[in-house]
Amino acid sequence: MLNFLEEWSFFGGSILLILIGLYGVITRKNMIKILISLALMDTGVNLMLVALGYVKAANAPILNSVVQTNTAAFVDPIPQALVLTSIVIGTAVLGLGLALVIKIYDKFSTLDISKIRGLKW
Amino acid sequence: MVNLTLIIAIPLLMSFTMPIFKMLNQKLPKVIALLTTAFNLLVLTANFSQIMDSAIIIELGGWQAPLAINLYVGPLALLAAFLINGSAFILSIYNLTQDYKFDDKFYLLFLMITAGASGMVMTGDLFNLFVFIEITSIAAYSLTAFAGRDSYEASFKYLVIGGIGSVFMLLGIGFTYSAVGSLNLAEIAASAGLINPLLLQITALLFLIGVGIEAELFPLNFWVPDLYTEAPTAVSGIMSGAVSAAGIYALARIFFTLFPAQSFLNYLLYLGAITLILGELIAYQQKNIKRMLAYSSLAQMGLIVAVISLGTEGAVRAGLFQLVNHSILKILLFISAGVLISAAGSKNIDDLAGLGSKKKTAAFGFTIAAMGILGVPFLNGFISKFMIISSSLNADQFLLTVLILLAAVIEIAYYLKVVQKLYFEDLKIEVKKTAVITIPVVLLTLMIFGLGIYPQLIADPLEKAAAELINNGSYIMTVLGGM
Amino acid sequence: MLTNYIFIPIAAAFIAYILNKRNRKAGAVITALVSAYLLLSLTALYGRWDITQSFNLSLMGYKIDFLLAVNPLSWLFAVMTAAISILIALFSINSQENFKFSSVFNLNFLIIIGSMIGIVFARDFLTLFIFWELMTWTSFYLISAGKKKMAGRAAYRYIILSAGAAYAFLMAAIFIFQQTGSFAFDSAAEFLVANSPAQSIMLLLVISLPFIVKAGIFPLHIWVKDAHGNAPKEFSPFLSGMMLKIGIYGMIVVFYQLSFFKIIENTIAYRGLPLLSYLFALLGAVTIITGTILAIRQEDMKKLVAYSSISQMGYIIIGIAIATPLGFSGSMLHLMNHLIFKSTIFLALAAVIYRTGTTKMYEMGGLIFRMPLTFAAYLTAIIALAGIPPTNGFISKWVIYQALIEKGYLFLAIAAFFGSIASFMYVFKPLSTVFLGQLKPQHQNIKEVPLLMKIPMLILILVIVLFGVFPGIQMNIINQISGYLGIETVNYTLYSIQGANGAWNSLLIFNIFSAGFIIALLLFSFAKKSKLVGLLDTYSSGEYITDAESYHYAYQYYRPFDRLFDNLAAKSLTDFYETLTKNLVRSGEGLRRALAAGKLQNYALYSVLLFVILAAVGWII
Repeated sequence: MLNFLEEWSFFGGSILLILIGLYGVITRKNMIKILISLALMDTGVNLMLVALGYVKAANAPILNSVVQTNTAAFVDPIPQALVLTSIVIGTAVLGLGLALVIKIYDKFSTLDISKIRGLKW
Repeated sequence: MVNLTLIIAIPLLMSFTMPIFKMLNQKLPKVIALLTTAFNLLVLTANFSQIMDSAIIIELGGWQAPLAINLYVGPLALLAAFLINGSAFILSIYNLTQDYKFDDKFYLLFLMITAGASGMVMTGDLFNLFVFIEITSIAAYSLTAFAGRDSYEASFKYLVIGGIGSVFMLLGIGFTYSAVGSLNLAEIAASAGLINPLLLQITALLFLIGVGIEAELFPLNFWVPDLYTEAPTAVSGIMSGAVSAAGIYALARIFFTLFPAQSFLNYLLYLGAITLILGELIAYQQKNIKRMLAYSSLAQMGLIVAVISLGTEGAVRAGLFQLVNHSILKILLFISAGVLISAAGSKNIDDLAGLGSKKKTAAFGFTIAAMGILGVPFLNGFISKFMIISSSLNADQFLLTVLILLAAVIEIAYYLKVVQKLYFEDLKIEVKKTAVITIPVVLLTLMIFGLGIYPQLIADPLEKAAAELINNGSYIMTVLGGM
Repeated sequence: MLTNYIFIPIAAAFIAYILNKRNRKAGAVITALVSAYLLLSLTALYGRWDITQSFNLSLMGYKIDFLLAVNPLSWLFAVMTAAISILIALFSINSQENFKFSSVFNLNFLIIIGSMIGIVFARDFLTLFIFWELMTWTSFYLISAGKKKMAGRAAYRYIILSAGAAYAFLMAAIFIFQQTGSFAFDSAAEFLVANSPAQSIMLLLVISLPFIVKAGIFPLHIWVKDAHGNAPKEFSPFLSGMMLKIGIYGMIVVFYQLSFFKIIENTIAYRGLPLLSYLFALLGAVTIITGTILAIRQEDMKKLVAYSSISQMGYIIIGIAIATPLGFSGSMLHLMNHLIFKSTIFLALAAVIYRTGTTKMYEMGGLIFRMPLTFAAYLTAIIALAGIPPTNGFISKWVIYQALIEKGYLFLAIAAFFGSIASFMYVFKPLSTVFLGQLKPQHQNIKEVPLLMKIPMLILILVIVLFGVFPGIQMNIINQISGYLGIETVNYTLYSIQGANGAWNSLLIFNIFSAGFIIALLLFSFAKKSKLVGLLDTYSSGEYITDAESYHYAYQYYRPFDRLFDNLAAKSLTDFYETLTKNLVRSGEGLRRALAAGKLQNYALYSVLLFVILAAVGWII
């Protein structure tokens, strides 16, 4: 049982995070909350990516003259690289989103997305 | 031959140095943007004949194909890159007469979109594709917001939908990587058959959603009308001319090269057909000209996706030709409509009445482009319409053919409403001063007539691009063959 | 070079457009010159039925042959197009002085001329389709250029119907192309004959759709009234006279060259006529009746004549559909004659509109005193239209009656007779209300139209009488066409035609009529003249007349007759089509309100739903 949890908690947890994020985006009306949900989803995916490359009891994938370990015992470095990139992208999107929220709040004086429906049909 | 990496590198370089240029001279950013896009076109032209012979593969960082990220520029990528950079070039000419409030930042983002979209079509690495999609979208989110007020709303909606899409896509990339152990497109394609079918199904769907947002597929496309309506004209133009083309490219790459399965193509076929008919029906309702163009644009995207996913060579060729035509025509439509809108001071179609005699170039551009889309003989749309009907009948898709033609009739209905208003109704409003768009209109009109009268002009690239898509074995061979 | 006939007008169109921007008369002059050139060079083409021209093109992987050829049928249509264009162009040199869209008019008009010649010379579907589309599009702009706001709606309706039909045509043509590997008519005909009859018939019916629309045959006639009624006054003669006929040309191609008649030869027949042919003839009969009834109701003179065109097209269709030698010859005769007298009528009306600026008949009257030549042209033309000897209209109708009686098609004959008699009712209405009666005070100072506008009308009057006396001129080419299409020819001399039960000798009749005319003229000149009084000096039983106009009834002229058909006319087909489109439109409206409601949450939900649904679909499959 414990073993199973250890194996699947990363996947289960990250998928749960994504679903919570999705639920948030679909149900929340506050734009800040929507962005937070989006960030949650991002985090979930990042966690998932890291989990995919995780190898139990392996070392960080760093090779230098001091640490000379067996390369087979490394965790997969590529997902980590991907996650780094994706975090940057996520942050950029989040920052842009918050900037837009500020602008929207300036213009419409509300954070409720359901009240800002100038564009429809 | 010139190194193709420059197509991505130079615009990025220029874009981030834009504030410096702005400090040197107020007018410089416009000119730099124009020169950069012109340079990109030159680079593509210089490589044209070689790519037609065999695809160029550039390994970045000096590592071999599966290890390092590589750029793959075959005929299809070349065609798409030409579309993207050509659109950007034409719109840069158009921008010369425009004044934006923060023009260094505008051109920064404009070049970034160009670089991102070019990267999307040239990359041979799945994660790199994701990064370029994100670059393009982030630039597009911010560019949209340049028009102020309602455009913030449009931008925010696009951002949230795009964010969801990127999550889906990233998830798909994760699954693919865990199943194949590589991110190289060719390597994934080579071992896609080994993936557990259930996982493959889910992964493909994740990609469908993630990329479908860029390719404007129903029902992921409701951000499109908001964005096209509110964004500045040049942004609407580049979104419908270049970014959606890159989206189609990515979709085609994933579902033809990566996961070539008839069932996925069928999904795309149905989604495309629904997008087409829905887009046309809704476009017919619009009172706002830009919104009408937006819905027409996504209907066209649906048509292109539907036709390409028929999967026969003729169909792919027809779809790609339609893509080329759509880029040319929609850009012309957007810039002409932009001028007409600023002349009338309103986006309402009824307020454009009688502008044909006052804003001759814009009205002419709109009319020619509309007639091109509607498939009048001797204009480019006629040839692609012929090819589309022919190939869809050839694939025994009788119903789809009828649907396409029905959509074409609806299209006639709403485009001609505008044309009639422009020319044959009396002027109601006071005409305001607008920018001059003679050069882009002339250039695009020449292209429309050129492709309409002598379509052989791009027959060869189209044929090779279609062959490349259909036959994913050769793609794998070219990339991995050296191993 | 057959391409010259097509591309010279199209190239000249742009020159005319540019020059017309500088001088308002230049466009019409160029149109006239180009049409004259066409007519002359077409005359040189007469009899050389072996000229062909073809282009092979490998278009995007499709091997396509563009075939052009000249045969008696296409030669006749080309000549008709060129001839009528000269007259219209001459007419419009002066009449377009104040026309806002005269540059657009000449641009599109010349392109239409070129594309119509392209249509008749085309020997394959694709060439035909290309020029057909070109003609449709340019005529859309021409109709849109009409004066009233209604012109826009009319053009709109026209283009939607035409485009829908043309796309259906294209689909059928491409289907045949995929079976035979060629667009050529000949190979298509071979394929269709060899193919299963049901499929061939379906294909051919679809192929004939655009022609039915263009010819304004019931039930696709709804565009005709508004388009013809609201088109620019100079274009209406061409629209009614020539462009309806190009639909008939297409029908002939479908019936004979694509072997429609051969395919249905052995299907169920009625009185020796295959049921499908009879159906076409019935459509023709219905077209005659509806066109006539609706024409009588019209208050707008151009719309009235437009409905009359619809009903006249019915005759032509009947004659072609019954496919007897006499029927075919009668149809071809009527086709030419209708072109002649209908353009005369429209030109006369255009002259009236040019001077008065209105098309409402009840706003006019007594113009006979001010515009005598226009009146004469109109009178001659309506005599021809009503089918009274010694005009050409009588002869063609006579031949069609002969054909109907010969075979004993009772209903068709009744419809034809009804249309002929009732046609006098509607053509008399403009005569009486526009030209006769009291001259309206606001029209006191109207003059006859300038010389250049008189010439075309004069020529047309002469031609009406000429063909009325010497139908042999027309029969010559018609027999060549019959021979070309493999139909038996009809015996004729210069002034007589051999019918089924008796011959028609027009010279004799003409002499009798002339004698009558001379006697009447003598009586008129020697008899005691009646006293001329002022037009407003009407007998009024001692009452003071305050409003003289009210004594000249022009509004709802045939009210009692109209009342008979009120119920029928109320159930208009237009309403039916409009309900159809309205429902389509409503579905779009509902969709957009439901789907694109501007709610971000919904849009996000769609992506999740799409994933779930597609995953479920994938699971099930």
